[in-house]
Amino acid sequence: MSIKHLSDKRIQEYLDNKLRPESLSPDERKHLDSCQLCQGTMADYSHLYSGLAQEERQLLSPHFTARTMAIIRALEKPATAISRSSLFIAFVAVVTICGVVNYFINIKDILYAVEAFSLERLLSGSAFVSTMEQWSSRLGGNLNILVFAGLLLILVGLIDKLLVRQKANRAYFMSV
Amino acid sequence: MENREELKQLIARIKGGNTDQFGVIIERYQKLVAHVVFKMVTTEADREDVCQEVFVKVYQKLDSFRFQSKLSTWIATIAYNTSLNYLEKKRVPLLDDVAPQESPLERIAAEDNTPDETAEYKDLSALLIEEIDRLPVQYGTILALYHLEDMSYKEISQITRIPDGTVKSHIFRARKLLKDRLLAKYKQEDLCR
Repeated sequence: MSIKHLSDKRIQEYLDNKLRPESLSPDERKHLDSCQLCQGTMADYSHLYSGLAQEERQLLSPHFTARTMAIIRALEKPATAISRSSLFIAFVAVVTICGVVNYFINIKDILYAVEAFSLERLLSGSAFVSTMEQWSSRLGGNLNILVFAGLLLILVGLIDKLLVRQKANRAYFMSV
Repeated sequence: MENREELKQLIARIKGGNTDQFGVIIERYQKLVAHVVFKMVTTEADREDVCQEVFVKVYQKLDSFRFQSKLSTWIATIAYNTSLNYLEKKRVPLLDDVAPQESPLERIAAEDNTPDETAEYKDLSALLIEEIDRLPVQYGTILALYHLEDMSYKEISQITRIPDGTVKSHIFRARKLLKDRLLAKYKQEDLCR
């Protein structure tokens, strides 16, 4: 019997190759057949291999699939929620602006304003400032109310979007 | 396990809007994901959340899967990267314990277990699980992919982005470490009897 024992690495390689004889040299095979120490090491590794292949423990909870699917379905909802809220905001904005405009100014004033901002007037540079002044004076200082209404709408829109996003994030991070 | 044509049809159905079919993917690959995540994420409370995050990412990135690798390898890569991100956030080292500072026998002596406590370790599988959990996280993951998922060195290399040779040496070292620790524990049990 040769004295040189098989290294741990060689024994592992032998086991990894499903104990195929060609994975050991003739000398190594001869040694393994006669050396109890190497046979013992190989038996230890053999036990370890079967233990590693059967290592079972409590993995995921039984409802894991259902919970993950709920998250994935919830992920798809925010897009719809945001577009619906955007539509709602746009609708409210249009109705409010129409209401405010209708209340404070008549249709002639709107046309007057459009005329004030018309490309023709802007390009000619004539009478833009004076038309605006005329238009503003006709409103009797109520232009501030229009600006305030516009800003209020933007604020409402931002708050609404923020709330929708928070709901979406909650759905993403919390299992349902 | 992976029938390419069947998988292609399944993924096409999911991409076509049949979200419920993704449940089949979760059922089929949850064990693989758990084997990767549970080895790397040591905090029990976070493990399932990380697994869920992995499947959400798989769902979101499904369009980019081009069958250039096995689906299992692709999913395991996402699981590995998601766990890595988690570890980076928690600042857990990947290979912190390659060379143990004390011998297994010294460590066991330091634990000062009573004979009754030691007797609990007689079950090899329980003992093995405990020792695997003591390994550096990357060793545990690589061992699980090799022994539990029957993956090749090349596949593990793709998942972990570690060269084949390094994967092989990690596996050898991890198994030697486990064998030595288990033997030491058995010897300790014999001493306690």
